[in-house]
Amino acid sequence: MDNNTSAERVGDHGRRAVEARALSLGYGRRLVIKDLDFEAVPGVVWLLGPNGAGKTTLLRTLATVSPPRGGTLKILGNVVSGERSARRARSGIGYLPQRFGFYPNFSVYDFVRYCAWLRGVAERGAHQAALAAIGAVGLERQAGTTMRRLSGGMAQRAGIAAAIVGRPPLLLLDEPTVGLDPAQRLEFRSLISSLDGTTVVLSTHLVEDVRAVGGTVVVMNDGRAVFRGSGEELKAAAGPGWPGENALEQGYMNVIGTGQANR
Amino acid sequence: MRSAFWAELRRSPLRWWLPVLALVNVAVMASDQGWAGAWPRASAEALRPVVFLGPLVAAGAAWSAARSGLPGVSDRMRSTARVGWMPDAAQLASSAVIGLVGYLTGVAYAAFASVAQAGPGFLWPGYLLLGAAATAACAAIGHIAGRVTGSRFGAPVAAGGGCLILMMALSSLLGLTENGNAVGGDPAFAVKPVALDTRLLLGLGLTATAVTLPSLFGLRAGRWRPELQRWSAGAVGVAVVAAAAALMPTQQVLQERAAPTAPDCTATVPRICLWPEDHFYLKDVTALAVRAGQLPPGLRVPAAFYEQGVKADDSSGFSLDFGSVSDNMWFVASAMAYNVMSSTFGPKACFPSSMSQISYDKMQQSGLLLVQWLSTRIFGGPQPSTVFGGPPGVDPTAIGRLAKEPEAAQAAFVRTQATVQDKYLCKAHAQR
Repeated sequence: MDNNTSAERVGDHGRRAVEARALSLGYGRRLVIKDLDFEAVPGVVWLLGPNGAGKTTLLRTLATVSPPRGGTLKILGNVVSGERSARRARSGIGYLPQRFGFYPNFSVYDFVRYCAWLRGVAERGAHQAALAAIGAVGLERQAGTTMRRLSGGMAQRAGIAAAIVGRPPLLLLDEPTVGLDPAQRLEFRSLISSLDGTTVVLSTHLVEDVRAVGGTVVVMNDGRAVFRGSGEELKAAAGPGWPGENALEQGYMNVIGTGQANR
Repeated sequence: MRSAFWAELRRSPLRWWLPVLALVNVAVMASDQGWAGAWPRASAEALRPVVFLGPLVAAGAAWSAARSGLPGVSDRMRSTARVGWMPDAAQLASSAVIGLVGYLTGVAYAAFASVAQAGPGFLWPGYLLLGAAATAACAAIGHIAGRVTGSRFGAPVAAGGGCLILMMALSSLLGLTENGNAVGGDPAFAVKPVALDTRLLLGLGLTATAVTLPSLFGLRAGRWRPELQRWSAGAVGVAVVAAAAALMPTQQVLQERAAPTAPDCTATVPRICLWPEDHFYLKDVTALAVRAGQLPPGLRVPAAFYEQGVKADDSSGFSLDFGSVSDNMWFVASAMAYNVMSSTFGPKACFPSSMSQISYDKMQQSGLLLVQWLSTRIFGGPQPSTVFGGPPGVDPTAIGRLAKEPEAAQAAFVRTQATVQDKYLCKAHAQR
């Protein structure tokens, strides 16, 4: 991690839901992330970065879908070093993959309930938890609709419901606002803001989400975390003279070193 | 696992097929109800539809399992907080349960159709478990095919077709047929416990293999190494399947039962004794016994006739394994006719070794005429049209007409044929 001050702030309080040291991640022979330190405590952590920066790879690893190539990973107090320890950690992780899979014949309710079961949510109370999660994303009327009949936005909301069902302490959301219309994005931001005590790590291309929700921003580029700090600090990276609306974008561009946004 | 099971059940295509499966099952059974009323026969009948039910269940299980190959689904199943085999188990259980419910519909129908008129006992678990094991094995085969190939069209076709071919080719080994014929449920035979255990083990082994191994296929770098227990469970499953497959060809599925201590006998002279399980036929065989007691003089009617297996060490017993009651009674009458012949003229094979072919043919023809006439008399009418064949060179219609002629004419016929028999058969055995 390049920015020690920010890293310390993200990982302070001793309540780290995620604690990764010198993580190396990749596919096949390709190393996508090398020697990454990453920590997250309750609150929202935004992962920003261009395509191929390693955001999805990092989230997959934090979700314990893929094992790291090297380094240590601690999720919710469990050192994740194999299938067994990964399984222990998973019960506390709500994960929305970028391209999340579902059985098309599942109803929304069955999908959410099934995901709750996969995560180890106890049968007792799972029904209420599923209904609450479906309600939180506004799909009550579609609870009995099969997944294949949902629009892209609705399916995405069902995916979010599956991630938040049972209120896991760690939420990992890979581009959760893709496919949502503006009103739904507002509702999503409101939902994220309401998750007190939950550690939410989410990737996005939409800087306006960061602006609206706040929290910590981690900018990734080429497999490295090139910035870690608050939205205000990212704005400050834009340099003097940038108006409020575009400062965040310019700050982002400055930290990944790709020039200027439109003033 | 309850919620996962129900969710899988609700998405399974088999749930739409279930009513069709159940209806076809019942329709096939209802088309010929010769089995109804006798528990072992009803049990064997309930087993038979597995030949078409199994492949359909395999196809449905393959389709369900193949959907795990959809983008992202495999990741979701792999990244479960549950033990790795549980999602597969929930999936396979839903397919197997639907198949078993379809199968049990037939079982329930068999019970329903028999209960009012059947004798003591109930459906035979040996036959029913053979069917359940075959159905579960097919579901497991389908699950394996679906998980390994991930093809939602190819896997069901391959699994359904493969299972059908296996059922046909191995029907005898699986206990669905015996000596090339559908298992008839003859009460003289029961499923051998060790053979049943082997087939249940085969089903269990395939199930264990299906829920543990296929999800390990396609593992590559970028996945957690599965726990040793999962490999071990899969290896045990494969070993059990291999052991069961090796044992099956060495086993007879059915074994003879000990003769009943209290057979169900008619209160007639002569008596006819049945297995208690065949109580259903008692009324019909009583009529045969009464008619056998009214045969013209000159014929020696045994004091009792026995169903196969009812009298220990007696191979002359008749079988009630021919479908409809009417057919059954004709064959019982025929068996009784042969017994009357043996009793009257001595063992069939006893004739002088020096006998010429012409003499032999005469003796043979006369014997066959007598058998057909005796069968017709005991049966109480001509040979049913549903029974094909008969003694060579004998016209059943003509014999049917003869059996309606006055007793004196029939007695003359008996005397004529008896003279021929006496002339050629060993005198030592011709003790009338």
